[in-house]
Amino acid sequence: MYNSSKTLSNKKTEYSEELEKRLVSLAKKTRIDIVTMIAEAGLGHMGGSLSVVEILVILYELYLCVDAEHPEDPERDRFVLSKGHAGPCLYSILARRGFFDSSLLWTMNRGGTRLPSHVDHLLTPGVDCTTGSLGQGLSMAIGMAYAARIKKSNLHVYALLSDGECDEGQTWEAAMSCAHFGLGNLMGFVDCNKFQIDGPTKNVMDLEDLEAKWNSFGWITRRIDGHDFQALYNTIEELRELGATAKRPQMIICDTIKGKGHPDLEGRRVSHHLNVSKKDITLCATHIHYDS
Amino acid sequence: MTVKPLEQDIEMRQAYAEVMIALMKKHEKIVLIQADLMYAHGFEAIEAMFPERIVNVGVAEANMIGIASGMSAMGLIPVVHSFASFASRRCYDQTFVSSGLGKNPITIIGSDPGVYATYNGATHMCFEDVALMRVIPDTVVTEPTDRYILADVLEQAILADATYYIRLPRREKRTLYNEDIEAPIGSSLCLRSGRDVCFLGAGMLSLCACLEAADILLQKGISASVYDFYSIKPIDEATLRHVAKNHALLVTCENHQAVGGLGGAIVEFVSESCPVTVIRCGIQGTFGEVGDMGYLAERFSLTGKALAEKIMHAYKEV
Repeated sequence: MYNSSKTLSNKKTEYSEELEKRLVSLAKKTRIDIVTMIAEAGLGHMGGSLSVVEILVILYELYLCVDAEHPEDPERDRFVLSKGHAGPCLYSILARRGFFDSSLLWTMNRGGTRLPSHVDHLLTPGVDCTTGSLGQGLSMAIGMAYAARIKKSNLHVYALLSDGECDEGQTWEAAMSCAHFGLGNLMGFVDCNKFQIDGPTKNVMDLEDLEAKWNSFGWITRRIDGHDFQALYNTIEELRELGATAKRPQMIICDTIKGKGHPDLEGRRVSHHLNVSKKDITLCATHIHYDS
Repeated sequence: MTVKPLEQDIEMRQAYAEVMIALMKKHEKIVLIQADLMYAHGFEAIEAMFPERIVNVGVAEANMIGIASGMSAMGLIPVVHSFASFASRRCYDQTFVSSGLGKNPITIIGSDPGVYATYNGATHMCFEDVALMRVIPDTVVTEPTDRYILADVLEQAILADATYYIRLPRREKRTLYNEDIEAPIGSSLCLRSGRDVCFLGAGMLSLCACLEAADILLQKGISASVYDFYSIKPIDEATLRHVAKNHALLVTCENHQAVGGLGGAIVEFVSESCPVTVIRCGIQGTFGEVGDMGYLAERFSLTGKALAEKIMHAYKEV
């Protein structure tokens, strides 16, 4: 289970076998939650929710200083899920952190729910930013990081983008300005799952070389396997230190698999938004060796 | 109220900078965000006084709105500026989602609206901003008439919990009021009381045309009221009910498309609540073009003479 500390401390946790086991277990639980939530609704954004699981798990487990008992604490770190359609993954993690009762998970997308398909900070405790119109999240995150600097706060801002949303011009307006402003308190992730709605990104709109692009926009950039907890840990640790020293934003390009965890969807275009039934929960549980 | 003769004063942009300095001294959370037009408002003094609270994002209006919304989410009070075309049309979804839907209040200054774009021509000539901003839920949309109304509206804007849009003609020097004027949002100001026709205008250019038209009509035996509707959303419903009851004809006048703006807002209310004939004067569904203020005012019939001719004809038929 996640620790729900009452104080916003951010002590370094050493990586260990035990920690990795815990992270892997949380990732499995999160994947089953995602498939179950979407199965309850009947359809939803599966692929892009399943691809970001490890990124969100490690952020909320080790890095984000947030407190479910004080969700509006002004000194908390901020997380902007710029790919707002990965709401199901965030909701599972927030529920486990105690921001709301997990029974809410099964109401996603029903009329009057507090958990809409695309995240809304006015509806869901623990959500810091309303997103869904792709390309807008990074600018918002920059505003937050800049405001923290004006207010002389040490909080950190994290933003998670999809690879498809790097098609949006605003993403690059934001990228350029963040480096120009020297916001070392902002770390970004691109969930590079290689697919957008109409197909592989290389066919729809070739984005590569993403690492070179972010680098050339002034960000300290690394590219890693986004499902590898050890790689995520090492890279986040390294870049947080580098970013603070160099006063530059940091970007981690995470190579991921769209639909990761579902045997019929992994790396397939159709995984973006589709009909899901309760059979998919069993399929997924077997595939990832989930033992409830 | 009695309108004093039109006076030449300082430009609105100078007044804007002076008001902002006063407000920034008073409210430390105000941050100004500019898109490569900092010096178009003479912000050198502000930059020197508050270097940490003025941010230039370059020619990137979408990013400007996003950054402002993020700052707002952190409890700051962002005021952004660009030319009206780029402050409204260029970054519409960002204003809608990041500020409006997310309930992250920001103040947006759209400068040189409508024909005030003059030599910048059609690309910069925004006749649509009021319509666009008005339809976003919970926004406030205003067109301050002179520097005194601007000062009052700006202070209301930065304290408001809403996405606020303010039209600002940078080079306008004329004034109708003085420093004692109060301009609460949702209200209007009566500039002249008459019996037959009622002009409802927003912005100095339109109101000057209305006042001149009222003079011309009076010589023809038609008595006209003139109201300053500086607050377009929310609109002054009580005054609209009053003038609809007491005049045979209402005439709206604006430096904006005749659909969707002040005229649209008034027709929407009046047709449902206090039906009376309304004539909407403004841009009749065309794009802008280049020219000086005199040429453009005539070209788009925003002169007292053009208004008076149109209304004399229409009044006979009411």
